[in-house]
Amino acid sequence: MLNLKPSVQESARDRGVTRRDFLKFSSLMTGILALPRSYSKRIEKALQAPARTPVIWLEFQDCAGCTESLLRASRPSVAEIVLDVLSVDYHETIMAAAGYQAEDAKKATIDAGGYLLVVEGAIPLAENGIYCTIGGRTAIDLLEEAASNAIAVVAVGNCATFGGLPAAQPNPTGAVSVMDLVKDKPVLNLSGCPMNVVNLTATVVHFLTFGELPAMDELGRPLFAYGARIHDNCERRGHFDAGEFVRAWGDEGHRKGWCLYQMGCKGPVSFHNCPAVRWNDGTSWPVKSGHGCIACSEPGFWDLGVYNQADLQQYAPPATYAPVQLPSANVDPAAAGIIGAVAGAAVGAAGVAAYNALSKSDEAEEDSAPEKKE
Amino acid sequence: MANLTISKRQTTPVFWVLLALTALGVGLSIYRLVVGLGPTTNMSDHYPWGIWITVDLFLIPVAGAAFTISLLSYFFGRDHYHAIVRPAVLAGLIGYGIVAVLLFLDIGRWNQFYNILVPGYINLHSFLEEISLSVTFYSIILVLEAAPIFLEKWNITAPIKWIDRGIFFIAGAGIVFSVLHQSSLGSLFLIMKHKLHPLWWTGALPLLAYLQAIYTGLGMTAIAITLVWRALKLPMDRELFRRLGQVMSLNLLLYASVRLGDWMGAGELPLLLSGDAFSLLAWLEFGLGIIVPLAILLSKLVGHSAGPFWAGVFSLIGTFINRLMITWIGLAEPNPVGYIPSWIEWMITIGLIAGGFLLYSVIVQQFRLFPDAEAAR
Amino acid sequence: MTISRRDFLKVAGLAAGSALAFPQGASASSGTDADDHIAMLYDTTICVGCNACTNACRQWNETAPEIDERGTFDAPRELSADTYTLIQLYKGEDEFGFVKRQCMHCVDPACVSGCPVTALQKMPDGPVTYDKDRCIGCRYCMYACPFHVPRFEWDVSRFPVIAKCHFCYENRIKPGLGGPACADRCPTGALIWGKRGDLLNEAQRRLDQNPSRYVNYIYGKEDVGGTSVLYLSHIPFENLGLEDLGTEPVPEISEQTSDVVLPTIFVAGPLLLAAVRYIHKRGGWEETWPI
Repeated sequence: MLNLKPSVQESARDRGVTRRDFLKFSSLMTGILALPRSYSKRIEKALQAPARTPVIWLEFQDCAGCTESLLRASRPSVAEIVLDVLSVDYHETIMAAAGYQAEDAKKATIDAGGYLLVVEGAIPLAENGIYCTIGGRTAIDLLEEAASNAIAVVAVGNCATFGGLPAAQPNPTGAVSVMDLVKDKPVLNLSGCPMNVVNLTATVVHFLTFGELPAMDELGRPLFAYGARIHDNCERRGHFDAGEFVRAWGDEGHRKGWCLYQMGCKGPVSFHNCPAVRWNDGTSWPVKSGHGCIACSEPGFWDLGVYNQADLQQYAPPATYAPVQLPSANVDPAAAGIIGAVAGAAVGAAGVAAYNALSKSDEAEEDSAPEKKE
Repeated sequence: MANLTISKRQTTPVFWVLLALTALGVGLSIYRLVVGLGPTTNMSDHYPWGIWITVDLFLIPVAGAAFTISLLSYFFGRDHYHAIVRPAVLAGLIGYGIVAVLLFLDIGRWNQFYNILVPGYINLHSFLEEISLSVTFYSIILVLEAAPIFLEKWNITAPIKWIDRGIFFIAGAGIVFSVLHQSSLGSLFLIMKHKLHPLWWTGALPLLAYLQAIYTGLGMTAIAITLVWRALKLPMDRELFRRLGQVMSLNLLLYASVRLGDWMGAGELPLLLSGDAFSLLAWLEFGLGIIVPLAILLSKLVGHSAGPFWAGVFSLIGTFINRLMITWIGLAEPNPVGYIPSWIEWMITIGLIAGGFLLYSVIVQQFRLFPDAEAAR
Repeated sequence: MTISRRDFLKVAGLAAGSALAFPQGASASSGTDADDHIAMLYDTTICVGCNACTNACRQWNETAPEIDERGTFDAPRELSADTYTLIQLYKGEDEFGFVKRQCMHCVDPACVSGCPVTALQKMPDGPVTYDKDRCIGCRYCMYACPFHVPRFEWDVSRFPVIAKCHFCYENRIKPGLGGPACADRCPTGALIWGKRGDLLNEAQRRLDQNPSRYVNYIYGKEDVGGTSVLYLSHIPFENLGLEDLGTEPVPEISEQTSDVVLPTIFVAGPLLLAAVRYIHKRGGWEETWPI
């Protein structure tokens, strides 16, 4: 791996990246990390200082998709340079070395300590872990050894974070996730299938800037990337709210970009930042290209069924929704007032009349009836 | 009542007040026709009928004096009543005139009001249609019955003869139509069983409304003739009052027994004793409207010069409360916004009634309503 | 004493005139079986409160939106002259439910029975329609309807109409464009339309297959004599504003009264008057109490 003495910024300049691009990258990272704008300066500073944390990258039951994702870090050479700064000492897929040499380099890094352990792929436990062996040693063993001296462990991809495909029913190999096995070191989960390299880059920048891992949710995923539901940031959310759904592939709604909930989109139950940062350098993401989210960042997503409708368990109608109206028979105070006034006036007048009548002599016997006419 | 005469070229302040109120009422009525119901009234989707309907349903039994007096005078041949046929019929005519104007103002599509008369549209299952047709025909009859008052003064005698010859047919038709629409005022609410409070809804609504019309009309008669006789300084016919009081108390008793019997039969007495606002209003209605008049009419007070007058006033109050309950307060609606009549609704109502009083008193002064009594004087 | 010719003619005339066949008042046609009427079925367990139906109704009837206080959304709170249907929410302690409110298109409608000029009519195939050319704006229908459905254009001066759901009868059903706009737009299938008999079977099927999901009752099957808009719910219907109104059609007592009272008054009235007059002529009322 590269042994760079110059700072990130200097290397960048050497590779033709202008300071302006560098600053843009810094503020991009600030945005992805959901930090206030002022932190952009701090990130710049961190990247200017020479600091090369070693990294060991292990792969177990994986498809190397997360590695592929890593390689798609196309935000120009600046991202690669960040990663170069990290002195990736062991990565089976992309390292040039092989055999005993490679293993010795890894051992040396482990013994020296102060490194970041990145794990890709699940770890099988069944039958003492024989379903994944590398160089004659089981994955369990390799993980335990590598994690022993690491500063922190970053599990990348759904397999490492939650077991992923190997752990899908019926899980014949007894696959488990990194956090199930590593209990004594901080484990950061960058789930996704694969993980989005932008989130890894941002995590690294955070680590370089602040010297610690970013804030996590209860599943160990960084909040800046997994804090919000896809459903809540989806650009098609308006169609969901208006009841405009795609009902068949290629129908009019599909052509118009309507909501894919009926086609099985798991956006409502999936936490990830895909609508914001997207994939392939911000090109697109599944929903934008017309297929529903499959909840690849969630535990057990392989068993959800891609085309089953998501269960909206946490759905609660807003307080401002029009409420049911129930008929009530209540006496209107105004109405009662009117009646009271009328009745009161009448009773009062009757009282007055009665008083007058009683204080005068009785005329009743004095008037005579007029003659009856035929 | 103060002497409102204008024939002696004396107009009292009361006259001018009434005239002003009437003019205001007429002006506001035109305004309502121009701008619609929304800006001028406080009626809403939850209270589609307002004080105008309440007043209409109150004025109709009040003006029903005409048919009761006609029945007693022409068909039962009781001559005591003959003397008051004219005032009663005039009161009826003016009353129904006010009702007609208020109804016209109340309907939203008044440019098509004549649809109630179009044969292809008539729905005889609708009691509103019954009332509309019946009131229309009855108004024509009232015009015919009241015509002699005016024709006499203007010396157009030929029509008077025709009317006199056909008086039994005219009056008879008037009584039949009156029975129909007075009871229909009650039947109108049969369809609102689910909305009207059980203390007021009953299958006997038609009968109750009819009985109410009789005693309310007689009550109004007592009020009117007391005031008119005093104004014109004519001697009171004590015998008339006594008999009128008897018929009125009979009908009050009938009404009371039907109403109480219905409450008992439907198991609603507990509602009456519940102490909530509705039970209190029922007590008020019954107490003021039935008990007080009966107390006056069945005692020596019936012979007092003001006895029947006050019996009449209280019976009218009772009827007013009753009609208020069934058209407005007793109805259960989803009620986020209550209903208080707007000032325009009040002023139009007051203006039209003031106009009625004004017209009545002017006619009383100008025309002969009591030919026999005046001749005897 | 003979009865005078005048009296005789009067009685005969009135009695004969009124004994002529009384024209039948307007009421629900009993010719077509209600099961053949077109109807709608609404299932609260499927409705998500998206208001697509409200929106569809707005578009097809070109009614004005009712903007909320923030000035942002078209958010009607209840039926109105511009809102023929909407979704309301019941929110209880731990449960909630949506309910679609609109005209129930009753089998025996109170509004049809009460309208003096037959502006509201029950069509042979089901929907209750409104004809503004007949309407006089008396608003009796608003009082008669037990579901508080018809609304009025208070703010129109010349000349306001009564507004309620008309089942898209003229603009969609008759031209064969499909069902009512709301039912055709519903994305989740909570609202479906079809023949009333078929929908009742479907509703019963759902109750049988999933008893724990529903309150075991089809609202509208027999309520007020049956309605064409049927409801299935997971929570008690009273919570949704659908009260227990009994099974007797609303106009029944009113129509029975008019069928009896009217002919009676017109026939018995003149006869009684003639009798009273006759007795008077014979001096029978002279000293009779109380008159």
